[in-house]
Amino acid sequence: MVFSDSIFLFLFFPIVLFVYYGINLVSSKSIAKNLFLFIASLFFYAFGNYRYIGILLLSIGINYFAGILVGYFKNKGIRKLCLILALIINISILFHFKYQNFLLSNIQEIFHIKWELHKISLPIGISFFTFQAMSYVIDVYKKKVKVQKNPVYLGLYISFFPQLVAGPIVRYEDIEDQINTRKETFELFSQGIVRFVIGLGKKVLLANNLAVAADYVFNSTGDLALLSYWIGTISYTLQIYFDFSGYSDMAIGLGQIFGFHFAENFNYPYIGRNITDFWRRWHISLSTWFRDYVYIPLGGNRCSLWKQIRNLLIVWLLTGIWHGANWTFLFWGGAYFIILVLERFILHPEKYKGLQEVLYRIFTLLFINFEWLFFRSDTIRQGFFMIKNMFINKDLWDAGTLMLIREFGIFIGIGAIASLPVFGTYKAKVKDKIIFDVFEIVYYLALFYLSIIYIINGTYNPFIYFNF
Amino acid sequence: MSKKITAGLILIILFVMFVSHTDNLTKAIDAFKNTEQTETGIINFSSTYKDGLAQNGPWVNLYGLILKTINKREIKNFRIVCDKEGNMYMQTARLDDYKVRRIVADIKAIQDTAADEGADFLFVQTPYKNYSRCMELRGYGQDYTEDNFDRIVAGLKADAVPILDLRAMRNWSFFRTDHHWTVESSFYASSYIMETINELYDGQLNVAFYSDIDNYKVESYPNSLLGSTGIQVGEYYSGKDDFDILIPAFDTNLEYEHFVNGKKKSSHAGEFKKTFIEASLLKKKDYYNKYNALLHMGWNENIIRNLNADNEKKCLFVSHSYGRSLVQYLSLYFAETRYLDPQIGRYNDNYLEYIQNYHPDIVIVMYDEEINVGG
Repeated sequence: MVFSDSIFLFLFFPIVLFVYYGINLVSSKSIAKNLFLFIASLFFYAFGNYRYIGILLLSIGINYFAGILVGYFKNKGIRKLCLILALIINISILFHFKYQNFLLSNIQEIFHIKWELHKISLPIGISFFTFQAMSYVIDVYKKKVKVQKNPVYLGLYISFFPQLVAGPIVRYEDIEDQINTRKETFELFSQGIVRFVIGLGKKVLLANNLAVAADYVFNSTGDLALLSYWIGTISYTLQIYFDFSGYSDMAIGLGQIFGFHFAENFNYPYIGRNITDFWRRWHISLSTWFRDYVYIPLGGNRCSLWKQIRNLLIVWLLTGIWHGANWTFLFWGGAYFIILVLERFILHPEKYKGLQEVLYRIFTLLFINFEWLFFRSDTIRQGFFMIKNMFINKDLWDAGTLMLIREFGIFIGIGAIASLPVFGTYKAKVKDKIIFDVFEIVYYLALFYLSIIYIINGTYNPFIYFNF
Repeated sequence: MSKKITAGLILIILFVMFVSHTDNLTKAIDAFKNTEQTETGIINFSSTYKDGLAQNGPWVNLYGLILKTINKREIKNFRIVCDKEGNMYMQTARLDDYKVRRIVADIKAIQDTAADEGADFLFVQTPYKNYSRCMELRGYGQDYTEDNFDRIVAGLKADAVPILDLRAMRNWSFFRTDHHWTVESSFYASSYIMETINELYDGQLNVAFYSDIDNYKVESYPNSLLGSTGIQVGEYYSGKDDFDILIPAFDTNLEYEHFVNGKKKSSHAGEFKKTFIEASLLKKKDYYNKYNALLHMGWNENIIRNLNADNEKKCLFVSHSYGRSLVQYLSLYFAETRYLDPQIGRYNDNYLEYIQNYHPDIVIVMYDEEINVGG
């Protein structure tokens, strides 16, 4: 089940909302509300991943007992052993579903061995809930959080449906208190509904339409004109932003509706001054996870230059492979590693001013665009083939280019504007005016209504990050 | 304050949507209950619920209105493309060579079995609504309809199968909002088929009379049809089609029965219109695809007896839904005509066994996909 699906919107969500606030009316104690949200979350997951509900429950069980054991023992060595065992089990499950076949097929290729590989379907959201669960056990080990003795509460933390399948990756320390005691207010509820509608509009009206243009180009047999490739890759750059940030908006909004506060996951990444700044604004929960649980434990910045570079390399290769078992993702992570090392130790783009800054911003956007191109490509070869055709091509444009402009130009244009903080800036200037309030109501209602029309009639609905 | 008002209004919309589609929910639950496997049940539940929403006129019309406003011609991920005149086309992917060979082999097997049973055989290649040669839709993705048919026809010719390729014979007309040809086109197609059969097989049939359009009158239902593509975008996107039916001006006396899995689902008898046309659908304002008014939407095994026939011949006609309108006119030439639709989920039993059991005089295949011939 996805948020931009009529089953979620017109069945699951109203029922869960009605029952949850019904329980809240009878008793404001957390246990009943949390139990209901936990059951609803398991149902949410099982609806689309019936076969893999056991994996989710296994992950909850393992990390629940791991937390208990790590918290129970006083001896540091035993505590560490329990932590390592928990991490090995978590990573092994993730490895089996996500990376086993990738590794085996590469061994086959290199050593010319022939064995039969069984197709393994990926349980949706496994990377997200595994990382979330591991962070809990690590934080218990570090004594940053208390052991959660109630399995329902821990189960809710790992499986809470708004962020279960595509993040944001929530830290237990951030919502520990909210699970135990939280207060739902109409103010927060209203903010949540509006945030959800914004995310829904981003996904349904922009990402889904841009996806059609991107698919047209990426699925082509390589006979497109130069400008068509540019339109296709720009469409994908916008699509992935609205797809993922739309999902995060909906997740954060749903959290607010049920009284939770999740940290932000995006902050207008495409206005980043440089690549380092871009990564401070893109998928923030993943970047900070790797920073806190990999980069800093490895020594972070407080070590020699070469160790810093080694740490960055490890983090970026892991970031790449986290997104999927394919060489394209490793290449994507590796390329980010190189540019970030250059920015940090040689270029220092944060010091650029004037024309130099403008030019570097343009370079940043181009670099990100090319990175997404590899991210979306099936192979590294396809990525390079497309880049070649974006510069050297027998046709500058053709009928396909004109079709892309006519059919998708409006979505690319709106998408480009909506990826900038235009609305917020304008709102800040006129915030006390009644007319703006009226405009805002009409705007959000129209956004919601249009989204419903597209959901009922549309065909394109998968979220890109569900694959991770 | 604005957020609170917005939230309140959105909640109302959500709950109205929930309450107003409870009948949809009931159908979806039934679909779930009627499935043995839970996983398949969930899929059936979802598709039933979503289909119920998608068939809701106002939502579809609003969607079409938005598409029209922003001048969209690519619809639903290129599933449909539309030209300036509002002609909607469905895109056809290229058949791989293996599949073409399978199709040719299936048709050849039917021809061989027909020959074994002493029946004559003709393969008819229909024109199909497509935009292969539409210049203004260049760039909307390659349509492989003509390419696929060319390769099937070439394969059949190589196997010496008798072929009538209708594609180049006239300017065929199609509904703008549907993938089917018009009733008039299907009438002309039946005439061409019968002329060919008469030429191939001794000219024993009274083709001149039944193929003369002056012996028919036109019954018109203007601005009434939203076809299979039109119902996906509603009536405001490119309007509705006129729907004309040719009714014989001479006396007819027919019997028609529709069977599904060997069980009779419906039967009609009398003159042409009474026997074949579901007139109530033509008058319904909320009924979208009026093409289904033809042959009472007979989609599986159809048996037609012509009580005024001047011969004793039996014809087996194998076709997709293009044949639904055509068979109405074809049946006027024979004492008995059987029309089977081999599409998935329709008549999918073994066609060779059917021929062996039925013993037809003539077998006409107007179908270019794989057919169940056993093996």
